[in-house]
Amino acid sequence: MGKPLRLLVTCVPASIVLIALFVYATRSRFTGEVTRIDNNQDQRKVDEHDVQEGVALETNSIALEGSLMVPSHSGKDDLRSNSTWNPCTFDICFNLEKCPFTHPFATYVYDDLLTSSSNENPFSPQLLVDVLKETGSYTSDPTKACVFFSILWNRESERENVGHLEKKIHSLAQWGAYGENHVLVELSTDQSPGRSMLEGVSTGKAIIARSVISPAKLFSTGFDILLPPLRTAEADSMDLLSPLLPVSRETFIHFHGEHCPHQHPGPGAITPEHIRSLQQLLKGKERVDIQLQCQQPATGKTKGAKEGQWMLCGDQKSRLELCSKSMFSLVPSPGGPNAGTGVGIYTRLIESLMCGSIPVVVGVGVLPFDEVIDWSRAGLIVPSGRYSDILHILRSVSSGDIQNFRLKGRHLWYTYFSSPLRVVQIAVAIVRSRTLHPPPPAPHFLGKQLLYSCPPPQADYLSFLHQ
Amino acid sequence: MGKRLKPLKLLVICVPASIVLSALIVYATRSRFTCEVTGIDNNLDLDEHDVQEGKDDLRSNSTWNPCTFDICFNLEKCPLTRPFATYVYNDLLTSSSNENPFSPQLLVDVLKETGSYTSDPTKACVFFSILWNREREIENVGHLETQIHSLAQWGEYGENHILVELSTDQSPGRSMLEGVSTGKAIIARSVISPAKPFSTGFDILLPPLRTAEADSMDLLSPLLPVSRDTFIHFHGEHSPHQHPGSGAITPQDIRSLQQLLKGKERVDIQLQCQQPATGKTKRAVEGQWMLCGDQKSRLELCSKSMFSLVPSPGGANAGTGVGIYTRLIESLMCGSIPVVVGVGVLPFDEVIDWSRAGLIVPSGRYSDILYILRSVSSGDIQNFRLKGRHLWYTYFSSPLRVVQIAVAIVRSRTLHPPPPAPHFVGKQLLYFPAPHHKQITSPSFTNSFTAYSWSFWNDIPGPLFSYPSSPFNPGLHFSRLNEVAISHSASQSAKGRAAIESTFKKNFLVNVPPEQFTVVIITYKRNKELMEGLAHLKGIPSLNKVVIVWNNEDDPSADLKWPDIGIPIVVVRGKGNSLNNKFLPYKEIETEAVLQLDDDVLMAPEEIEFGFRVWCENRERMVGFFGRSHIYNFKDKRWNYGKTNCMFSMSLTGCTFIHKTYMYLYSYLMPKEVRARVDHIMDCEDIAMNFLAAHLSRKPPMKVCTNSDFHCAGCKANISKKKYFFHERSVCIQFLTRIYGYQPLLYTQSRTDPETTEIPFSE
Repeated sequence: MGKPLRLLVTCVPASIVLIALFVYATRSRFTGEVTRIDNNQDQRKVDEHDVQEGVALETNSIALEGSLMVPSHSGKDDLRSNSTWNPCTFDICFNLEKCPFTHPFATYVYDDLLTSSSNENPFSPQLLVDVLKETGSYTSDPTKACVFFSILWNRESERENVGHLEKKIHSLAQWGAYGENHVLVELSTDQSPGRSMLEGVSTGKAIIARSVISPAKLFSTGFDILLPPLRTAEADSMDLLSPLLPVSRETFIHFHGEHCPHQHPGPGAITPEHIRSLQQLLKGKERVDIQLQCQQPATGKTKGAKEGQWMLCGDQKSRLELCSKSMFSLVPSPGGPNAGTGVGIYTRLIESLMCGSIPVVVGVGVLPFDEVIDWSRAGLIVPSGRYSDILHILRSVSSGDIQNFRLKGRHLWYTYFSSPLRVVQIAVAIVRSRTLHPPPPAPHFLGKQLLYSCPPPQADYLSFLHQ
Repeated sequence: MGKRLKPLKLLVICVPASIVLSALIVYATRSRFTCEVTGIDNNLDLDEHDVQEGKDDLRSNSTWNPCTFDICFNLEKCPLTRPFATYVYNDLLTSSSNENPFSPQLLVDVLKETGSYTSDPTKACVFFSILWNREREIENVGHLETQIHSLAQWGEYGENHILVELSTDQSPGRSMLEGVSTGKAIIARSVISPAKPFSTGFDILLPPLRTAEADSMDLLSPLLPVSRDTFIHFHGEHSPHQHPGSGAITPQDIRSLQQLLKGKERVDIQLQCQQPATGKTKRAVEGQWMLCGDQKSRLELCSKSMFSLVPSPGGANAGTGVGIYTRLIESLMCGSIPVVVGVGVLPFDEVIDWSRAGLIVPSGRYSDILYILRSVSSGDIQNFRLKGRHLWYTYFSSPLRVVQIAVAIVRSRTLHPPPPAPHFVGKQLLYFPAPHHKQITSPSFTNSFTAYSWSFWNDIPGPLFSYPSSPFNPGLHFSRLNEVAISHSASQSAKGRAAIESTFKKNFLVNVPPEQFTVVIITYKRNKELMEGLAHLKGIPSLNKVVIVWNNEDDPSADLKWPDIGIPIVVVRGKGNSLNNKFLPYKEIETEAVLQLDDDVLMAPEEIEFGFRVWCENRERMVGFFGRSHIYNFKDKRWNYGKTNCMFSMSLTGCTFIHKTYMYLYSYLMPKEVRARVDHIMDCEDIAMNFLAAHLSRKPPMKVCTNSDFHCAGCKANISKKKYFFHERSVCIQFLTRIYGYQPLLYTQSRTDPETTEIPFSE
């Protein structure tokens, strides 16, 4: 009689314990439960950031429900070898686990520039921090951040320290093994050399936002971000813009630039020969303003200037004055597999948006922010093989088209390119859009309430109306 | 004297030496500082060298891999002075069969219609060669390469060639072109694999096809109501793989979603096909999600669900296999919003903005999928469904359309404008010129090389044609004022009028040319009323021309007394005796504005002129004088046709201004089922036009106030007095609602009155 009782006494609790263990182990797998969030403040923050009206009541319950398992990155072993994530795409090289929807999109900016600051380029990370704080995207706690921004200046004087640069980058506090979720922002001005500072530097899985692309440091389309070149830390004044009307202007097409000759022009290069032949073609038919030799010293003619580049003439003020008298501005490609190297091209492009002269971009592969901007509405984007028909194309642009181009060009300049801060804000916005976080809500104004006489009508407002 | 000689000697030696030295220096640095190059004699042709110069680079394989358009396409064969011409190789690269009756000849016919076809290969810009991706062809891959390389115009690298690989959902999961060297050809296909990577921006991703015929519009589900039985839906069977790539959605992931939604929403998830899974061939790629059943059953299932999951099989080239794209296209057909998780490349995504037709989510966000789905509002759902249906109709509704779009994409890369929408050339029966009439025709095709944009591909009317003008593209428009309006002002002397005009133009920057409108009257055996109606059109300042569409089988008799109204009159024949002739885009119409008039309508000239001016300010709407309405009958649960007192939603085309582009769209873009129904019952063409205008512009028509009534009291009986008139038109409305998938008509209560106070201009 003792035996079955003993069995019972041992087996039942044992099986209960076993079952409990089993349930505990598989709990998170099948029910997807996550411990409740006790902190009410987090809940409220989530509510504030919810822009969609349809989900208001559901938000709390969703936050508590927790999330599903992230699709197994069991391919993680693949990721260690360099070849599988080169070129990087967002799915492979970005870790979304740091960016859950229950937290607002938070960025962290490293305080120090990767390259030394100087008086010439007073753009400091602190300016960026202030702007991000306004939109509520900034956090000073790196463990809560989704994306980490590190800024460096592309300057001639920094070229010698490239070896240091890699070490500095890899020793950033949150770099980890591969620099996931990092954005290296390389700012260039039109004085910058034609090469990227990051050539030869191993940047792991970081997104590189820069203005200069070269074959030595390939541009990952859809992952890297192409920035326009900057001038100073201040916003360009709206006084520099030209009026959108009248449609007709003195000269038909305009181009001032000096060519840096190269031995082996890549496919699609526009050489001085081509521009001269265009000049000949238009002689007597239209007024052109083409100069292939700078009267003032050519900008960017440093020893780092790349072969085949078209260098700018004079300073921004004189260039804007010149192009505001012309209907079209030629923006030619230097050719080569990564057509679009060098800041000269993009400076030309942005300045033509400012002066209302429609850019005719010939053979340039990548344009600033072109993953989000539809450049074909702001100018004529022409493959280099079509250069021979350029006159035909230009002549067919109607007044309505010109008005549309100018309107859209001004809008693009104002929204995307009017100040360095705006440029970096847009880079942040692009990364945020990839994580599917909604854009931050426009801040309403909280004025100081001086008088509050009667309480606002409650739910029976309608009945109040019908009295 | 020797002392004097020394400086002289120095001089003699030094000066030439320095000259030589300086010359050398100048020569050496010349190219650095002046960048001069020898002049050019031949202007135009030399410009074409910019592609040639890099040719030495192009011979080695590595520089053109991956291919981009600038490197791998030869634009010399495609000058803008010639139309964009395509050549189609007659034979399929793989053998034809009964299963897939799509033949190149169908494509040739379609291209001929748009004027893009040439049978002379030397004149062609691109060369199309078609092959079928079929299970039993896989064994012949070795042959395939030799066949491709021996195409007549292949040359060395197959420049300007497009290999179109068509797949169905029965096709194996691998591309036939794996391992085949395709040189510089553009590959248009549905299946991508790491062995044959996809060159973004160069290759074209096609959707999979089912048969050679167009999918019928009967298969489509209505767009409304917004809510449906199930929340999310997924039927599929997984082909397991050892090493799932990054971002793969496995059955575990889907099961956890099912668990999460249990008790909260209704889901329809099945991870095992009841009927045999489609695509389960021995070549199915690992990790793929196979489809269940046939298209009909799948559409029926997904039409009951609000969302459809389209998961990625993972891996480097996420998106392999036709299962994914079939799921995507079918969700567009049934109105169930596709939730695409982790798929890298989508069909035609170089031009289509898929984020407006569905939710495109990176695989890392799968964990938050419920949050995202719950936040989609009803407005979003309606927009997704509308856009999804538009995309299906424009891009995916038939294999021919798919290949036409591929042609259009290549054409857009060469910057050739899309072919002009064909106007209708009817047989001219009579023509009465008016030599003293000042004609102002509207400019046409003003944006030939600026046509391509995101909106061109994604919004109506779609990317196949360019239209002479568009009601949706205002530009920097100022108020369009007729010069005639100014001339009717206070001062009567010519000098005074000129002074007022110039002041007005100076102060208001009016730089938009004035315009006129064309009257189109359709007539059938009612000559007396027609002549009276024509006589009433005398004295309208902005009238350009009168086009009379003669539906009568007999030609107009010689003893008809045509009135002289000082405006040109053209009598033209349409296609038989059809009410659709009213909306054919006649070549004779040279203005943007068209006034559709019935032959028995008598309106005062001031009213018509005022109506035209209202139209100028509202170009995308129908501007008419007589309103009708649609009413929902709750008892029978359907729409009826009627006339209400307080609001209206349609404008009778017995007297309405519309933009000429709507006539093109009615005749070519609108589903042909509608035109067939109009012919069948000899009625409802005006309702069809109202539906079209409301659907495209999402605006109600405008009503201009008038003192006239529509029906002429003393006239002979006309069509509108038939017995079951209202009933038949109600049936029309129901039919059109089913075709469009929703009821596009919008109500309005407002009406336009002319501003009658005279404001004198001050100098």
